[in-house]
Amino acid sequence: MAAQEFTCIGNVTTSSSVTSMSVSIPADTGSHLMLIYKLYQNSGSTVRLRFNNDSGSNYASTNLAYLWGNYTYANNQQNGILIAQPQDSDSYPSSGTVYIPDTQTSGKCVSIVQDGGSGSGRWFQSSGTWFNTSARVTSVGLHTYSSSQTFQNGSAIAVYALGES
Amino acid sequence: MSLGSHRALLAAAGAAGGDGDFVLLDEVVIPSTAAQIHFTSSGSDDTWDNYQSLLVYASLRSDASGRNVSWRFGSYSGGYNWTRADSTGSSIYADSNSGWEARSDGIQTGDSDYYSPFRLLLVNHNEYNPASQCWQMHGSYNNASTGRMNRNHGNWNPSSQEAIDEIYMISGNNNPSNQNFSTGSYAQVFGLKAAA
Repeated sequence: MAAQEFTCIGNVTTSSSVTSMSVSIPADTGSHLMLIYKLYQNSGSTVRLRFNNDSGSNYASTNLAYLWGNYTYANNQQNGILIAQPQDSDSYPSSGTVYIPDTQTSGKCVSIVQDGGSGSGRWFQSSGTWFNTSARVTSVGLHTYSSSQTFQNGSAIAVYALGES
Repeated sequence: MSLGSHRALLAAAGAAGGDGDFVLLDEVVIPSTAAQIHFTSSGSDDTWDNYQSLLVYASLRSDASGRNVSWRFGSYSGGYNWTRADSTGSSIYADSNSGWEARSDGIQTGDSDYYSPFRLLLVNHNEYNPASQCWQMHGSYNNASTGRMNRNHGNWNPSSQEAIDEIYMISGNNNPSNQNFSTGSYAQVFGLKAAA
């Protein structure tokens, strides 16, 4: 039997300003995903991770962050899992990895472990849950806080899925 | 393994691909409830000494609210020391601990359907002389009303130094028989091969 390894199933690199970047998850994809990102943003606001483009208040997350001082906050009933807070400077992109242990078990929420950061005074980690337990994950994406914030040229995500090599 | 069900995802030892691989060695899915999950090198699809480091991923839920996850690398014994940063959602604090198992406080929730992610990295688990073993841990839980996240780094200095060839993950701490991992909880152990 073949080995189980992580394989890239999709990636996005922006060539213009956008408010979201997402990758589709095929039905036969393994249930364990990793998402790697590098973000430039025109605003220092939070970035949210969403499944299936669900923008409802179906998420919760907790931060452990350094934003020029200690910071922690539980974000409940949010419209996405807060995973980063990039600075509004091309000199300090934010990068990180999102671990999604389970995407396809019916009736189970999706949980995330994430490491991430941004240079010059910001280091942001979070973990969260998606409460839509009925749907299989068909896409995963990063979204800016609102339409007035955008990911800048060169921002990128890549999604890896565990499966047979 | 002692509890749950394993999926034999790999064939014989050595069939795990080339260097630099990130290879699933074993997986346990809890079919009903279980107080602990037990991984062993001999029970995996490839022996652990074929890999440079190990990584455990898990999605866990307890049958008791707010319970801990603990782990150890052999029989209960002293020699575990760790320091953690704990984000409760309203405050951050750090402390250091020692004990006969390593523990992460408050990364599980008893709420139905809400599972907690867990990650444990064991760097160079075969190298134990003269240095002790070390790990990095990340765990958390979140539900609709609250959340908490722990980061942890620690060392294991058993009385007789040894390579890590088994991992116990325990629901609760100190008296694991009082708590169980709930149905659907699962854990995976990966081997990380060295670069060519």
